[in-house]
Amino acid sequence: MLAIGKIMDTSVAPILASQTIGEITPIMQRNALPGLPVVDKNRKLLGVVFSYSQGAELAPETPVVK
Amino acid sequence: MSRQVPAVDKNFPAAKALALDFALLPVVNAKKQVLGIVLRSELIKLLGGPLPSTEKNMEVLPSQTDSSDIPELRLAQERAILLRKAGLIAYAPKMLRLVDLCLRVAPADSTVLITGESGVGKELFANLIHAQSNRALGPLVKINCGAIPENLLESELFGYEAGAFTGANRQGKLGMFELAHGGTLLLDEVGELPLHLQVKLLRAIQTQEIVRVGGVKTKKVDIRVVAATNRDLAQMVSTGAFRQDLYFRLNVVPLEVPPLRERREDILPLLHHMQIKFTHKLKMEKRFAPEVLKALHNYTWPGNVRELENIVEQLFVLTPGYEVTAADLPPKLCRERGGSVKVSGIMPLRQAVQAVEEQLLTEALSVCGGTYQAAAALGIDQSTFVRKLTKFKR
Repeated sequence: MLAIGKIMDTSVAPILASQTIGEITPIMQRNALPGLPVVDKNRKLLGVVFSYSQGAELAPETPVVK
Repeated sequence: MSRQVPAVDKNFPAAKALALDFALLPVVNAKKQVLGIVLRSELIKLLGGPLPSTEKNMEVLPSQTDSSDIPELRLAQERAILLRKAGLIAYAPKMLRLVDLCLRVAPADSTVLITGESGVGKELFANLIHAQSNRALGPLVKINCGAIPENLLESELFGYEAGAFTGANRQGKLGMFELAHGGTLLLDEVGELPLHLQVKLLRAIQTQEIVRVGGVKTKKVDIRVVAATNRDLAQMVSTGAFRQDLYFRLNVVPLEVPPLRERREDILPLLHHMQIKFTHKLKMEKRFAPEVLKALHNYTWPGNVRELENIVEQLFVLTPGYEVTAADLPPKLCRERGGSVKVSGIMPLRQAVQAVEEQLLTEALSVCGGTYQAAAALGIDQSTFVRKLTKFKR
């Protein structure tokens, strides 16, 4: 059975929680990504931000994690 | 930010991930650190779902996110970008090690000998080495030593002076060595080089000087040589078909590209890449059924990536419907399974033979999809196949 690790795309870097909506929205739009994983400084997963989530409607300077 | 999306580990089955029905899944290690992401659109393509209709959804491009404080991710990101630019698909550990070796060798300006079976992608590695070398802005000149008639090869490599021979160009002609000045010269199929030219080639590589055919003056060139061959040069040296001194001169950094059967992890990603390519080239969409993916994954691929590409194009062109099923596969793909027969303990021979027969019949039917194809793959009549199968089912 095909394991997920075989098709994982490591070329997509996760974003830091301190980055803003304004910074990440163009990244997702330009690369046609539905979302990106959000990590802390230790690369630990905090959650996922989607292009269609509430964040997109917030002010561009709003951090991904408030 | 949504916290409800589950994270998966690398060994999580892709089919189960598809069933989770999320647009993307983060892939994490035991410490919940992110290793990468998997997109639902990728899963659908690999596991046989409908293809997205727009081009931009088909390929996940590297993001421009600043990941400078995450060195491992930055390196992985840089490597992925390089591989995409070079047109290389490398997921298997053997290939990733080879890519890393290429990246280390590239700036060193040493002569490289790339070996590997026909169709493994030796030229792509030569492209990668040139692109990552200090000569990247210079030319990359490629010559296939096996494709040029022996009597023309010398003038192609070293050029000729005006009036060097009957029918020669009045102005003379630049050879590949001069054309590659300041860049890289790829000598493809170097094992096909005739012995008398091997001496001249050795001298040109050693001294970085050439003499044109019919000329008397030496000319300085600044080139890096990358040679490629599918022949066993060491064995050719032992039989006297290849000069030992040239072999040692070329074999400064040997790189061996593994055959496709030794890097099966690359088969499905390659298939995915070719699926996109042929969807655009042939203006048609195809879905590969799971049993087709299984058969392609299990085949031994003696012709390597070139053979895989040909088979995929053949399936695109010859399959009448949208879905490619096992019945559409060429018989050789059904026949070659590479499986092993397991025997547990001592048992009566008749019973063992029956167990093996049953295993083969069931396997052939699951891969080939129909009794006619399965019977053809096993080399028996369809009626015999059905009779035996019915007997085992009783």
